Amino acid sequence: TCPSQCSCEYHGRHEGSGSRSVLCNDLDMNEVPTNLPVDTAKLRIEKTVVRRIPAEAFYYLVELQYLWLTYNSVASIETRSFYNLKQLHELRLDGNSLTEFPWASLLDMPHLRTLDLHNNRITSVTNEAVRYLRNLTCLDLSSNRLTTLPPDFLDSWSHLAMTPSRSPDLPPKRIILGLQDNPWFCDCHISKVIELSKVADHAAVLLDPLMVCSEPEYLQGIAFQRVELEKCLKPSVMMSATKITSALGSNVLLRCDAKGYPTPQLMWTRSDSSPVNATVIQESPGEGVRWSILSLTGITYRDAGDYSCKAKNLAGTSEAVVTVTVVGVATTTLSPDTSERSPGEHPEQNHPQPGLGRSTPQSKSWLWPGLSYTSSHPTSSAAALSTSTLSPPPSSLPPIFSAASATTSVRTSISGSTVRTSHRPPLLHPGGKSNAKIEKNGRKFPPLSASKKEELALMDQAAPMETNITIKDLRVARETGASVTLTWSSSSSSSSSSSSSSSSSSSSSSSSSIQESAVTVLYSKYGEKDLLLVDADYGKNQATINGLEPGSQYVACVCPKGVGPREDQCITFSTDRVEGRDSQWSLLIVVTSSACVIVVPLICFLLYKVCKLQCTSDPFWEDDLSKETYIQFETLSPRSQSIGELWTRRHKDDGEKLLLCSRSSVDSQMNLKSDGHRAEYYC
Amino acid sequence: TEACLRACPAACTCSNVERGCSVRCDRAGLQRVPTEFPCEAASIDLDRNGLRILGERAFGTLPSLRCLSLRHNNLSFITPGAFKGLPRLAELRLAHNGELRYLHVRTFAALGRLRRLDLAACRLFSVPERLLAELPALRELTAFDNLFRRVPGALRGLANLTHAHFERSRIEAVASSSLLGMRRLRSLSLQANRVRAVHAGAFGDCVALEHLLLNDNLLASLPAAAFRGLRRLRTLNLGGNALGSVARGWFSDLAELELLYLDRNSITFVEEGAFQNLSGLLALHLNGNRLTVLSWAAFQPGFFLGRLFLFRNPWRCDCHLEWLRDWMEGSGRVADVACASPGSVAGQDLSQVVFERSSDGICVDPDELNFTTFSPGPSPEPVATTVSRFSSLLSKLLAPRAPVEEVANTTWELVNVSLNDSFRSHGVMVMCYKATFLFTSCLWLSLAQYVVLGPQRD
Repeated sequence: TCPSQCSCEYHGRHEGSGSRSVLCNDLDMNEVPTNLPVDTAKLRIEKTVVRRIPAEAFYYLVELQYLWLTYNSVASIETRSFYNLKQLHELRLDGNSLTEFPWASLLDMPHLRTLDLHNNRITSVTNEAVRYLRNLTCLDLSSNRLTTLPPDFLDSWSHLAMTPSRSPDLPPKRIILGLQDNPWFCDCHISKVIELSKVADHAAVLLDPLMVCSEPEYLQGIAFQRVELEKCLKPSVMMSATKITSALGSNVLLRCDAKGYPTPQLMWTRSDSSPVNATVIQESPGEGVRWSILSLTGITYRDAGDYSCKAKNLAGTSEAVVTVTVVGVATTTLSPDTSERSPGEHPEQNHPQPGLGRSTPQSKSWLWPGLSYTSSHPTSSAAALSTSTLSPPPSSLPPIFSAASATTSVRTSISGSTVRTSHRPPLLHPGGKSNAKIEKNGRKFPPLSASKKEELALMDQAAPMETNITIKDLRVARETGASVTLTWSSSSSSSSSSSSSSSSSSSSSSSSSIQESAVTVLYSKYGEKDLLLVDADYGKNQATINGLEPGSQYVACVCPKGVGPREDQCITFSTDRVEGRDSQWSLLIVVTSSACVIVVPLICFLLYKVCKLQCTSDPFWEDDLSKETYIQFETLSPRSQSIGELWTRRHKDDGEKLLLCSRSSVDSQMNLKSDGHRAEYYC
Repeated sequence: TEACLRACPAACTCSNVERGCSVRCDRAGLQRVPTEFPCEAASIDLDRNGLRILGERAFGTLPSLRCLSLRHNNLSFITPGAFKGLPRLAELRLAHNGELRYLHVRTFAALGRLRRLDLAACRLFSVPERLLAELPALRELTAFDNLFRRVPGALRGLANLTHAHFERSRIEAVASSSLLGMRRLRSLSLQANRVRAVHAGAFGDCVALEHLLLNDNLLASLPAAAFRGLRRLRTLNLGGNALGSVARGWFSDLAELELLYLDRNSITFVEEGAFQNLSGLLALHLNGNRLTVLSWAAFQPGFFLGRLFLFRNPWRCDCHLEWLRDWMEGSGRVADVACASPGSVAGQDLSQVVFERSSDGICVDPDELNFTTFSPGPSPEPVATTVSRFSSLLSKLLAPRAPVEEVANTTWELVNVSLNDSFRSHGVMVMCYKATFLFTSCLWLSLAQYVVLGPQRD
């Protein structure tokens, strides 16, 4: 069977000895045909619009020898497009639109000899391509867009140069290269090709030796034969010597100098391909020059042989060889063995020492973690202690102080009350006097808290009171915001009994005069020297001072009449209410500040809101103004319907104004006819 | 001889060739058929012109005309009877007239000797049932690149048709009645269509069929009797479809089959005896599938001496494929069987695999690569991460404990203070009352602001 757009012919007299040829030249064919006869030996797909060769397109044509895909529109070829064409001899792709060729696909065509890529758009030949071109004998890359070639391009066929020497009788094998009609950039990269065009007898033959440079500008239009490249020189190699004989165990230095443009690269190899395991030093003192030194230390018989130094650059390669010979004596051989043994002993001796050294650090490290652990623990505990000691003082001092003071006051008041209970029974034993005293005591009981605090103050001054002979137990019995009641007891009982008896028998006036004659009560502010006389009713052994200022300290003195006040007869007091007020004041401050913290941001927010609203209201008015302006502007040219509507609206406004106006009907009609401006004027 | 040259139309070139007078008018820019042709004309070429309509008897009376070519014109209508007066016409080419789309049932009437008809790339949707009924001598019909969607019914009854080409015509099925009566059909091409189904017995009447091309369609399955009766079939191409397995009964009647293409499918399994009757097979294409194993039983009880294409399959090169390795070495007709598994031989060609023998002489499968050595690798890392996280958590937990205790102590002291000082609480209550008053007044103020300013926003 034959594909519908192809014609198939069988060439040959007998069925078995002929070959099948398939020609597909339909101008409308746009795909590589499938189902070609499997015995096809020659396939021609020409002058079609085939654009791509799919992978494995011809794999089943196992006998295919000639594949011509000429003058199509092929722009895309895959690496596996020519898979399994093991008998293919000739592949022609000239006259297509290829920009690159998959050179690796040549591996699938081991018998390929002719590859024609003439008249395509190939712009480059990759470095990897050099590996696959070995089997080709005809490669045509003419009429493409090549500007350069890999430097090793011509090395693909370096094996052909060896053939004549091996078989001189056979004619030399040659390859044919088509490189003409490309826009060559003539530099060192294609220096080998340029040299090829100048040489008459070479393994590679050019289809057309007339090749012309396109770049650089100073070489434009010049034929390859007449090109002289600057700074493009094949490397030359010099060795320090060609033969070196050295004694066993000695050191040998091999030096190699190379010159060329560009600066060549140097590489050492041995003739037997064994690796060169020696120190190599390379330097390039200047452009175009490089030297290398191979250092062989402790030379042995194995190091004998040929050492070659290869220099390579874009323009070519060069090589120089030096032969190293090793000479040795038996006595010399023995001494190295002895020297070898002695180093062996030294490591044995050194081995335990490093072991010991290693163990010692281990023990130290074992100790060190313990030390660090011990030190870190007290450090952390110390830190904790410092934290506990440092942080409490600033924050917790007032509560502790107040708590301690409260506890102390409670205990003191309890002891004070006990003392009083022991004292009162003897006072109760007298008849009438005892009743009067009981009444006074009843009055004292309700203000227990105040009395407790006063007792605290009295306890502080117990020592100086004991020294008083005449007056004893001076203390503050009652305390209010502006008044204080003082009580005391006389040392002599006779004076007290006489005063009580006289008061009961005599009149009230006589009793008051007696009291006045007995004691004098003075008081003043703490720190001031002016003493004020108490002008209040005197009860027995107690006096009330009025007109005091809250929140200040005072000094009160009780002394017999006619005698000046002494320190032992005086008492300094400041009311507890003042302390309470202080604490209350602090609380007030705290609460007020917290309230301010909460309220002030709210007030600020409200102010911000108000300002924002006011700012937004202004543009609103501006918008109204602009709208009015717009309306007035539109009324000047009442052409479109919308403008007419606006005019109508304006007319209505005029009507309203006329209704409010007191003009006559005739004037109103005239106003209707006239312009708005005049109407406004009349109104 | 001179008559041929004398009567030549103005825009044409006439010449005498071996078979008679040849008139070449291709690429002449003609918009209309020339009114006069030489009476001796045997071949007329009007390709690549601008012809639009063919009227009745468009070419007059040309008793010697055998080949008429009108390709690449703009024909949109052919009058019935346009080809009258051409009694000996044997070849008619109307390809690449994309405006044609429709043919009248009597377009080709009176062409009793027509043997080849080319209707390629005419964008025909369908053709009348009896379009070709008056063409008893038709042998070859070329109609690729059309829009048929079904095998045209006009084929029925064409007893002399031998070649039919329907590539790329969007045909979706081959029905049982599509190819009735075509007893001399030798080559049928349905490649590159959209065939999803081939009905059983569809090719029952095609007893002379030799080449059946169904490649590059959408076949996912075939009935067991799909190819029943095709005893003279030599080429069967099912490549480029979606078949998942090869059934035993498909090829049982194909005793003379030489080429079997099953490449580029999704075949994972070949039934035993699938190829057992294919004794004349020269090439079997199984490349580009998903085969991991191929049993020798697929070819039994016969044997296979043809060429076998097996590349691009994920082969599992174990002892089940030892027979294939031996056969590769012996015959040399199989190459490029790349192994995908087991791991120790992945990437190698089957011919390079060495099958070891146990002490009993039994084949030992190649080893899988040992992947267990890698499993403990990543496990230590998460453990270390967990430990580090735990240690960091511990440090975080231990650090802030002291401040918490101190705070607690402070609270206790504050409680004591409040209990002991009853007079002060009164003052505090007074301040709370004042604060409450302040808050309330602020709230009322904000509410008033909102009420007053809200409407202006709207």
